[in-house]
Amino acid sequence: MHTIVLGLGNPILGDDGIGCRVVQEVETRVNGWASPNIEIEPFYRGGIALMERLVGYEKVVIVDSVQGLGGAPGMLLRLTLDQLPTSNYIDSPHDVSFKTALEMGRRLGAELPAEIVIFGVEIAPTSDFLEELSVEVAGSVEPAVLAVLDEITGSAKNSTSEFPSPSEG
Amino acid sequence: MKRHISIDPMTRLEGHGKIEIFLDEAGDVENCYVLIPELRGFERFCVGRPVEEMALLTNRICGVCPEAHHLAAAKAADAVYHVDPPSTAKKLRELLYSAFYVTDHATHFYALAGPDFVMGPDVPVAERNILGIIHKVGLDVAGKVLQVRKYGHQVIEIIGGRKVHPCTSIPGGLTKGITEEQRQEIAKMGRWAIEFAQFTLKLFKDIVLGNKGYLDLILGDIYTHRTYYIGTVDEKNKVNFYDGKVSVVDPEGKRICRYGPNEYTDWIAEHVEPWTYLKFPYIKPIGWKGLIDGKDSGVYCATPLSRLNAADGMATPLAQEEYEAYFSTMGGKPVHQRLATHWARLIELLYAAERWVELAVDPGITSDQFHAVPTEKPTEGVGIVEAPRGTLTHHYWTDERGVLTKVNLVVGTTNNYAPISMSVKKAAQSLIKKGTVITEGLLNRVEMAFRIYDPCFGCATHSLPGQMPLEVKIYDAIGHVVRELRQN
Repeated sequence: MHTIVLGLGNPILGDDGIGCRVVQEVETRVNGWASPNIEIEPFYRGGIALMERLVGYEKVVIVDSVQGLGGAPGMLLRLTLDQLPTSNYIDSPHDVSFKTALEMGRRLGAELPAEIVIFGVEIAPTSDFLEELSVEVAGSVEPAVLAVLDEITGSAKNSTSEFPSPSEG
Repeated sequence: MKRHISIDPMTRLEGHGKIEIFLDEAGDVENCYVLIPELRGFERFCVGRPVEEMALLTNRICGVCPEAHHLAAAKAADAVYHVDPPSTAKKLRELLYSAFYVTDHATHFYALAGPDFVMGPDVPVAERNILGIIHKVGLDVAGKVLQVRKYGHQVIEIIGGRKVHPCTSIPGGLTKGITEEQRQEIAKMGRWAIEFAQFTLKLFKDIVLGNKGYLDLILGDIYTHRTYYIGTVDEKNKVNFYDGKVSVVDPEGKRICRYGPNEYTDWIAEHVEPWTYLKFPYIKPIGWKGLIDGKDSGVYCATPLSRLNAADGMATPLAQEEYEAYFSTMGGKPVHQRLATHWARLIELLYAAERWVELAVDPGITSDQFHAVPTEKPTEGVGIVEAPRGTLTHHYWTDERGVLTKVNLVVGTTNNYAPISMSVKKAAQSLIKKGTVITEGLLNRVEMAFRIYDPCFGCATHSLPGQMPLEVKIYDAIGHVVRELRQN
């Protein structure tokens, strides 16, 4: 299955950068056994730009920060698009919402992923520029990395290429 | 009974832009506040880093216009090192920027501003979006929008090294040039962008200007303010997004100065209000007199409408024709009716597309002279570009090693904080009267006053919780919320 893993966020805005940090770590761990069917990268835009990036993939795994889901900072959630409340980057304040962008792309016949998995990490409101994560959110990096690896390992098993499990890497 | 209004500053850090409207006992609008949360510590974050990092670092401030920050930072770093990039480097940077402008202005019109007019301001918010435009105008329009964005991003990647967050500008120019093959491809895409811009202007004229109700709304008083206007112009006082001097005109359209980057502190100062963290820039020699119109008030505006007011024309032929038609329809210069900003933005879209082609066919654009090695000791420098939503100024100070000791940024949206506040208040006061039934459509008309400015909280702030960054709350005379609108 042609899969893309995107970590959304701003790496210089504290906990806002959790998505980027997680995919950075995922990329490091899959180094050496990555399947050509799986791409992993940080991404910094929501709305139409995010939809455009997904064209041509069958599955997308998004890691992003979320706010206001009622959980404590660091809480990790696995969400589908329908369950998506709000995340910091999936919708852009200067653009249409991600759901609207997807609908627009589909109406145009774009090949967009049928499977959209979102891992959201709850964060407290951020207002200071810094490169470090808070202790609470930093604690979610490992569970989020393992969750993403589980997702893409499943994708790899469904694909035709060989893709060893993370423990073999 | 006069009511004391108290706003807890912590609420502003939740991440929302807010419009708060306070009614008096009679039910009329007594006051109105636009609250924009501000990120903190960017200066502190930058100090101690090499100045050449700034072109990479500042474009992380914002996911909306990183290209503007990249180039303002690059120009400021050129100035810090006292190096003048070769003409090829300047042209390539401007070419990248023109392609960016086309994508940005096109997205704003079709995704944000257009639905108010194409669908109508009173249509429910669930239908007032780009899908509504597709439904009304046809699926083909969405294909065109995605195509022009794709072309713009390709140009940005060819010159800037990446589709998002360009990385090729360094002190003295660029790290790479373009090949003849790339030049031809860029020119071909630019010609298509010109057709797209013309199509969009025709759409605007047919649907908006062809509708008497909309035209009356644009020409009416609700969305009108008489302020100073600023915008960057070239040596012939034509609009330029990348380089030149900042022209300032008064509310009668008379030019009072053209300031260079090093002179910005002579002309722009910032006022602080106790109810908001964001500062209000104003024309320094005129002075801060409050959130009021007129020649004696230093409030200014920095938008597409402002840029057209502050210039003597457009530097490309098709955009110049549109410029003339615009001022003719609007009754001459300057145009104070803020809803016309959407029209002005589309004229800029056409200019950017034409400029894209002009630069792509420039014989010097493929030269390998795209970098001048800095040889001077670094000190202090200012870089200014026109971001789509306002004049963007970066000011850096370094030690003799080029390590930053101080940073100051005046970003696009911040320029317009005073006029945004004034426009929203006036719209609220005009539309909400004693006994008015407050509908979603009515609140959207208040919000339209805000959307005119294409405000980007990505710079003024960040980390929004995914929703449109706006809540509108109306409070009665005893402080109860009587109506609330939240954009999703």
